[in-house]
Amino acid sequence: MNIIECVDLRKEYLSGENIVNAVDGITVAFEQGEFCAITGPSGSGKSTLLHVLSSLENPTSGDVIYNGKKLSGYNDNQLSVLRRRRFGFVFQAYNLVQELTGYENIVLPVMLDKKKVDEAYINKVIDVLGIGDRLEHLPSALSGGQQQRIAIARALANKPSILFADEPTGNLDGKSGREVLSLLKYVSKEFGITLILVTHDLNVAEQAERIISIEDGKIVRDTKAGV
Amino acid sequence: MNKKKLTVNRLAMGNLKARKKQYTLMIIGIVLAMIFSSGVMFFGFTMLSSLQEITNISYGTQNIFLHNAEEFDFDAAKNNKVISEYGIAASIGFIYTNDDEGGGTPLAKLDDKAKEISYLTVKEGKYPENSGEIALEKDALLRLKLLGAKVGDEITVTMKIADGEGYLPETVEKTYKLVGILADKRCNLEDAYSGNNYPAAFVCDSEKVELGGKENLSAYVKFYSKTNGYDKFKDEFINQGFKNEYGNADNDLYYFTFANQHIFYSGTDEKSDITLTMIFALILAGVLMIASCTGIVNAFNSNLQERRKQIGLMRAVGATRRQIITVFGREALIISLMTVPLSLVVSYFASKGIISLMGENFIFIPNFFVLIACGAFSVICVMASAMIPLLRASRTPPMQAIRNTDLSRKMKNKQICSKKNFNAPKILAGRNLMFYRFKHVGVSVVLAATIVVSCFGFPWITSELEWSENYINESEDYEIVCSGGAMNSNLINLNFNYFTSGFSENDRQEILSHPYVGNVEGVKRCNANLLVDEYSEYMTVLDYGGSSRYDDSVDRLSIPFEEYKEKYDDNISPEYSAVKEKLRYTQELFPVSIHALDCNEIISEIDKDKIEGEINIDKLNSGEEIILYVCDEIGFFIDTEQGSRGGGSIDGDETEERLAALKARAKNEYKVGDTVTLSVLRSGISEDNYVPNSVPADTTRKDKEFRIGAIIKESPSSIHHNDYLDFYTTVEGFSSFVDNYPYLDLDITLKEECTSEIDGEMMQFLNQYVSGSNHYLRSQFERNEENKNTYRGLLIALLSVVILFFSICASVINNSLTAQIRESKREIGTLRAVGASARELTQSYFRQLLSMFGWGCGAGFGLYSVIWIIMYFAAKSTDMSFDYKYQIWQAALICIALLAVCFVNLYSKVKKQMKYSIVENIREL
Repeated sequence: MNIIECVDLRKEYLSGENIVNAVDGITVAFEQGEFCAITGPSGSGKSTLLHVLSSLENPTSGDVIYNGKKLSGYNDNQLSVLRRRRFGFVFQAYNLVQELTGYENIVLPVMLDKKKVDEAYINKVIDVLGIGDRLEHLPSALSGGQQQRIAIARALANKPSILFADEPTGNLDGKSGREVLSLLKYVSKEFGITLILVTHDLNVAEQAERIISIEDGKIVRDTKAGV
Repeated sequence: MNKKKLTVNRLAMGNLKARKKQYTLMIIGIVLAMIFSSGVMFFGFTMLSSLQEITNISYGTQNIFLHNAEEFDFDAAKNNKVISEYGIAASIGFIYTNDDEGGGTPLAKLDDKAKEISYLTVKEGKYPENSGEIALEKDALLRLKLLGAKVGDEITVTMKIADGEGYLPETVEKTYKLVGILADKRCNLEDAYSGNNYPAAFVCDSEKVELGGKENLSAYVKFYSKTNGYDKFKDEFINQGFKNEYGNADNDLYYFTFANQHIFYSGTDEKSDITLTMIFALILAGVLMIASCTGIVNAFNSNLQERRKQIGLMRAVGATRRQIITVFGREALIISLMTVPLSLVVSYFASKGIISLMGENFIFIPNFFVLIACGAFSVICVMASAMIPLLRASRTPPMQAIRNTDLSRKMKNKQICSKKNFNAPKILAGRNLMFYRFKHVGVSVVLAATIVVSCFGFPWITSELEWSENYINESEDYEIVCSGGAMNSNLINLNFNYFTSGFSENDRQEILSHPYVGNVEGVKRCNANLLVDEYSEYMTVLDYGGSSRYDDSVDRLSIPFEEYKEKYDDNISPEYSAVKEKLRYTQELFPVSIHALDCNEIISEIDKDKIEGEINIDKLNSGEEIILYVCDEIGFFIDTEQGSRGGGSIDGDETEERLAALKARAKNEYKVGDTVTLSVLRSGISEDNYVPNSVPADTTRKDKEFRIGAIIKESPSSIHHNDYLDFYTTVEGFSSFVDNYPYLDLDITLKEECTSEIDGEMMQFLNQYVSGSNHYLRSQFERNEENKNTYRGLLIALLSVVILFFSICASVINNSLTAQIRESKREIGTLRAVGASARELTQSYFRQLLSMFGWGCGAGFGLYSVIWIIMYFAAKSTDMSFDYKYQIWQAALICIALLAVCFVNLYSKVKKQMKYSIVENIREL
């Protein structure tokens, strides 16, 4: 069953006087619980595809369909609710709120949703990510790896259906990168979450169940592991 | 390949081009600050040039005026570098009219240099060019009783012919054509000794002195040295063999008088007006300048905050603090230099426009130097303002700027722990307030200052408005006053014929017959002597007159009365005894005044609450009764508001014991029903010819007994001259005692409401009655108009200040929040990515806004309340009246409006961020 899909998706940017087709008529679908890596060279449009899929950006044309509903019909508030309840995001630059502690950053989507924190679940996520001793620190006092773990925990806090990760290991050293990747794989399996990960690192991509290669805004290859 | 060298200017220009939008606010702030700072300079220069012009017109540009200068060797003085310039005034005679030599003036012809140095200013017509023509100063027209004369009229004067040193005794009648009216020279009006020796009437160069006469030469002289010119001139004067420095004792051939004045000497109303108005304008422009500079500080601070990371990176790659200041300060310098022409043009025309509205006395003549000074001053103001945020920004450690490491330190200091459950907007607002307290404290302080200013400002405006309205409706329309010189001859109260130059009953009836005039009330006043068997205790306390009656070496105030009396009896002044004997007085004389008012004025002006006894008009008219004005404790007042009644000259420095002793001795001893004897002495001689302590041969004495019909404790408000033991009666009652005595004041009320046309006509009509130099005319209409204008100006200014404060406040709050929103662009993106909607984001910022307002309002209203309470109790403890209302609703209303404005601005800023995609929010700059 497809959890999210896009049909003839296009995203154009103005670069000076030229129009750049970052996403050029992509149609693709993702299944529930799938771990998919989107890969391609720099500037190929992979991050843009992820941003449009995750409603961080609006497409120029085409549709993103989540659970059978077109996101183009959602207003800003509905999209906010969708993001806080159903989607999780992990960014290359962590993007933590600097004034909040590690723990507060983690539970921020839950608090924005005005729900009670599922302590058991959050504690489990924290345990899995191994950040129990860094929760009282502000982001500026944490290392890159620790910040990314906090960001992953935040992305999982609301038990999302889909976890979008944009170069989550890009800012990390090899060891930390590998650890973060294993954690992402683990949590997606553990909590049954669809993981859509953007990377230009083939070693990272190879660990996914499905690899979509993009060049010039178009899918040039869509392969599943073992195929 | 582009090999252009990377300079600070290039870097700054690059920054400016790349961040045009962010600089808009700062550019506006800089332009405003430059406009206002150059405005301050323009107003300052205008004040100086206007005062200089008025000084020149009023006094001339000479340093000294040398009378009878024929024998003085000016060329030698010039060669000795004592004087730089001189011009000769040749007096051909002394002119006057109606046998009144006192009102006359020398008639002179000036050479070109004298005209230039004396700064003769033609107000109307021209300077005489042909024989038979004359130009007069405006005041000379008054003195010559030619007030109605117009340019083109023929005027006839009596002339004493100059004889080279003074004037021949013979006179001739001369008729001239009045061709010009000149601005008054103050030296003619102010110098009591030599006023009549300054020429105030002028003829052309070709006018010849009458046969048998010789021109009297005087000179307008300018010193060579600006610092010790006077001393050098004095030396030269003595070196040339002239012994008397001033010549007022035994040699009046050569004397000189200072005529130049410092420009800040407020010798004229115009100068006082200029100084006051320009100081006010300067203060206003200064406040505006400070406000704009605050805006620059704020805008630049916000700008630098947004580029904190950039500054951190520059510091990380080795930029020194100085380089940071240079690079970012250069931006402010470039903007200010680029906007100098625009700012100067706007400021120039704005100042010119405002100054032209102020009146013709204000002269706006900026030259190249002034423009350069204005430009430089405005750039300095901008750079000084920009330095405050620059210094702060340059002090930020690199890693703190890049990674916000200071937050962790602050958090440790505050011992903050994670919250398990929280309201996201609330916690975000709280943390922002805590971490960036400095910014918010600034906002609260500005808001508090604004509230205090408006809390005091609005009630003040209201009360002043009420006062000016009441003031306008109160008084008579015109008042003509014959203000006399000293009446007291030290030993006795003598009335000279000088005072007969007041206003006659005929004058009064004439004025009354004018079609516009509804009523004319007259006031008479004469000096009298209260005859007493011996001085009572309170009389000894009074100051005036005492110094000659008895030996002043006795301290009358510090010794018991009996002891004093004993000493007084032994130390009575022999001159006083001689005068008493000559005038055949057997009793002691105590100086008093008798004031006479119209019947209805007596009744309306005297406060019924302050009366003992009854006012019986018939008995006053018949001269049977009189009203005594005396305070409960006469003889002294202590410097308090209530104590302003009473007499004497005891100030707040008196010791408690001494005051207690004085109070005990200063009790009024008169009661209603007591009989008093008043004695009036009159002499036909002029006061100028009176020999001190003498009794003129023609002195007449008239005594009369009166019964005290009533005692009043406050003098009527229409009486401008009163002492502390005075008598009041009706005009009829006064005339029954003192006959042929003129009115000294006439209060004129119109039938209808005065307009500017009526006022013009009335002023012209009434001016004929005040042609004497000691008479003056007051138009209530003019005063009302002046008051209205003054209060209108004050109100506008105060409202502007209040509005300005609120604008600064709004601008500071908005800048602060705008900067924070811009700075938090990435954080907004993050929050949006994790599900925050516009509502939550707005809530977060609104909470911060509310907090700033809460603190600001609390501090502002609290401070106002504390100050008000202190003022209230201070006034209460000193028995001062305190009618200042505790009024905060206007300020509260404006605070609400301000909050609304700030909220709208905040909401629009958040909405603007929401228009960007989340990715655009998050993307690093």
